Amino acid sequence: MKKNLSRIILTLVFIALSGYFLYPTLSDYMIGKDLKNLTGKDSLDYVTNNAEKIRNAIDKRIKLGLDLKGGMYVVMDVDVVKLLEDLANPRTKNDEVLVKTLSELNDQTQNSDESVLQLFIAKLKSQGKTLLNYYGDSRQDETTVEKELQDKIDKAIEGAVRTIRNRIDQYGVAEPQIQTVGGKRIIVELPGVSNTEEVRKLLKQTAILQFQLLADPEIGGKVIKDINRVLAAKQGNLDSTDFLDTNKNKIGDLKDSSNISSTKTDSRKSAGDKDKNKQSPKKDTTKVKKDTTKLKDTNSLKDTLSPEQDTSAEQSYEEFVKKNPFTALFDLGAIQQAGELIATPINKEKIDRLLKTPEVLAVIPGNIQFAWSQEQKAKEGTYYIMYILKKEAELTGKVIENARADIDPTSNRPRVTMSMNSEGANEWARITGANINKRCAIVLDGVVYSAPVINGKITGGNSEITGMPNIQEAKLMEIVLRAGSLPAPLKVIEERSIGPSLGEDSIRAGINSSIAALILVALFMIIYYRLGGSISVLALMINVFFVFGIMASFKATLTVPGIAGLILSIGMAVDTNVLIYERIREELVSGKPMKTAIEIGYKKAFSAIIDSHLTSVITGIILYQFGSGPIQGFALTLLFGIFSNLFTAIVITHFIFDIMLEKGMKLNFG
Amino acid sequence: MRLFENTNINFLGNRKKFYSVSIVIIIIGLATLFLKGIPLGIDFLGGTELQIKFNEDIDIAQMRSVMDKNGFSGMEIKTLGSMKEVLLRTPLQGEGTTIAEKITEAIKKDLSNNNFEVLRVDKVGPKIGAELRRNAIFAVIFSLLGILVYLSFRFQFVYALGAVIALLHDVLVTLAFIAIFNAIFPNLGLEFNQTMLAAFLTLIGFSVNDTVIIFDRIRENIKLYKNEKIEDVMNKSVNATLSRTVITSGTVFLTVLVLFFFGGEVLRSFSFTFGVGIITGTYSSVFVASSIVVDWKNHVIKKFSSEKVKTVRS
Repeated sequence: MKKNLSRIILTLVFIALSGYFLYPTLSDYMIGKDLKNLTGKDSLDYVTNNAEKIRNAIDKRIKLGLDLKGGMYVVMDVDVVKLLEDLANPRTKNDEVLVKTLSELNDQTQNSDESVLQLFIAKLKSQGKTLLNYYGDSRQDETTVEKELQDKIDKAIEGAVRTIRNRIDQYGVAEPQIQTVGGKRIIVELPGVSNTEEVRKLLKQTAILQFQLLADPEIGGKVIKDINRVLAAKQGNLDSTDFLDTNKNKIGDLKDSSNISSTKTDSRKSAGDKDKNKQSPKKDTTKVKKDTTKLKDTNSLKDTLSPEQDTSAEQSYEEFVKKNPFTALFDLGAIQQAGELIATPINKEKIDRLLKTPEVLAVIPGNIQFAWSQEQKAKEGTYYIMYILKKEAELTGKVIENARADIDPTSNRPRVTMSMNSEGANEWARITGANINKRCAIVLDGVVYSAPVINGKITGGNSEITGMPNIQEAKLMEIVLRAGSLPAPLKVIEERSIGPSLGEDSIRAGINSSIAALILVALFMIIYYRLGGSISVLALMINVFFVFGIMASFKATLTVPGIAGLILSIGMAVDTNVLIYERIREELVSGKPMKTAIEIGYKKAFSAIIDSHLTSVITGIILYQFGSGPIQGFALTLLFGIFSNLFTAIVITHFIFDIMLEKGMKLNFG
Repeated sequence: MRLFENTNINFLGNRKKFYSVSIVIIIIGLATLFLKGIPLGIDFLGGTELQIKFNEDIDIAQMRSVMDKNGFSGMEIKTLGSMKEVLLRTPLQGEGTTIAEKITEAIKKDLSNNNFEVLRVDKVGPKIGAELRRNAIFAVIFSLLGILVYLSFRFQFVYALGAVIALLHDVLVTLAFIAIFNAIFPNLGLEFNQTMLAAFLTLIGFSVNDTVIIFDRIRENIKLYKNEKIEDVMNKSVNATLSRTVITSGTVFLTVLVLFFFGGEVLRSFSFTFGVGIITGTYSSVFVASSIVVDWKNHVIKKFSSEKVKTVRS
């Protein structure tokens, strides 16, 4: 009994765990059902009210592969030939030998996996040229140039992945999967995407890196105040007519404020022009310091955020929310620095929706832009920072020549050094000179990666960004800067898109027939092995439940080959039961009592079960290692199925028989 | 209810017959394979493929003339299931899916009276095709090696060899069947793509499972019947496991049969391949794997160590 007790507990624990992991999948299904019955405003309300639940369900449910769900699958390679072309020194770019060699290289590398750079060097050599003819400056030797080129090729992919992730996130695809394979290939999976043309454009656009100044705190505060007013009016006084009036007034106000800021820009520009003339191309490194301490600025955004504070200092929180519905969506307690607003992922979605409503759009001045940071991680969860930026970019990333993250040997802190070409350096000196102590955001494709405070005028184009908490953050900064300076040319080498209707048909037919097949098998087992068969069917059901539970816990994706793996593992599960029962029958025929027959049956079948399962485990692991996508999906469900089956067939059915015998129930195996 | 109770079939005594049956099938199959071939799916070949569903029945000849007119001559065009669904395939790749776009444009323009929906677009570049081929071959070879090593360790090298030869046999016979079926019923749309590859992997897994279970019984019986000839012990073992073999294979075959008829387009080539694989896998486990072990022991090992065997016998 004791032996059985631990088995029962273990089984219950596994069932509970599977249930826990499968709950989001179930809840996702229920949400989908609920949503089907709702239309228009009701469905929007439902989504808003259950945002957290929906998010959680989507995040943790079993995902369906593209072959089942429909969507887009794109494989991209870095076009090394194009990159070599882009990297060549401007004066030699049109050199006849180079152009010819590159075009030959392009044809040759179409099908091969050889290192393009090595092939390129060999080809140049055969024509009496070296890398030095086209790359690097005169002081460098060939190995350095080769190393640098290889480095740039290797790092191009990181920037490309970052840009793609950026864009996909902004496009709003649920559960995108973006991964690099072998350090040079990007695989993008976008379930549910049907507008393939749009997405393709999105993927192929070159990355745009911009340096944008943060808007003056007064202007930022005013915009927020206006949005609050519009939204409060919309919520509170939908029926009152003065809403429209206030709205009109607001637009009038806004025109004023935008004028102020544009004149400001103008004056700054003229100041900058003066600087430009004085510019000397001396190479000194000045510091752009990312400020990690709190700024003691009297005009800080936090003060201007709550406009009602001066009139009624003691207002309640409800009152505040009512009057400032927009500000209330941000986490005000968490504001670290001036000009930053912090929001949770759920509130971010709400804010994005609000910012798109016509009323709100009407009060946002044309020269102002709201931009989010990339996802930030803290102990309490992920969050986003919103910045209010001047829309016009001061400088684009094209002027960046190089960026490198390392640890500053003197201070032992991570830093990123960035160098610009002479044209960019002049501009940069003017911008930094005119905006000392202001913050300049580094924005890649609309996402703010950092917003350091400008410590002083930077001449010569060599800047240093410090204040990153760790070297990983610094490396990310390096990737972002590189992605903006030299976008990696990508070429699509594989693309598949499956319309959702094909997916729907196939999943319905597949699932229905699988269930039908399982029922047939179950019926056979019950008829052939009677009570024993019924118990094996119960075990089989638990087995399938476990497999899905394991899949959910691993966040695995179910695909057609995955279903094939599942079928094989179910076949093996049936086989395991058949093996055991045939052995038990043999023992019963030789005249042994039921209890002994069961014991011996399990014991004798064990070696066969272990050997056949382990052989499959080996196959599964090897297929997972060497196979590509679909094969891996097959191997994974097969492996899950085998492990779960070893447990259900050997442990669960056995203790059920034991308990039944103890209770004096009559067993039979047909 | 009992199936195959106390059977006593002399499987191994007839192994020469079974060998010849297998060899004949493989030879016919391979001949068909080389003459007719199994069409490679674009997964392995590279190219562009579109699956389009029209609102009304479509005339293939008209479709072809539209494609020819727009510069896609020699395109493969066939219907899928009904006359409303069409599969278009060309070895052309182009950058991204430009080819697919041109094709849909052409249909929109020249078949404007028939509305359609693009169900699926696949474009595979030559590099990926080659890579998938290579990966698939590696995966299969390494898993066969893995099985060989594990079984040598758990049984004896001869048994491992028998099991792996039986697996190769299954792969070849299944390929043969697909080639033959493809030659007779080209409408089935059988082609070697990733799904079919998954089916091959499944059948390898299934067949080795079958073989291992028979070997396990042989391993057990050799200890029980030490004085009997290996052939007799094997016959006993195959007979003892026969009902299990038939029941398991039967139930799995049943499942696959349901999938083949009702599982829809996506699962068809899988279930066909696996279905054939179940039959040959069961056959090879019963008739081929053990026979090879016996023949290997009788001929090869004896040849090399005939002196030793004689001294032991005497």
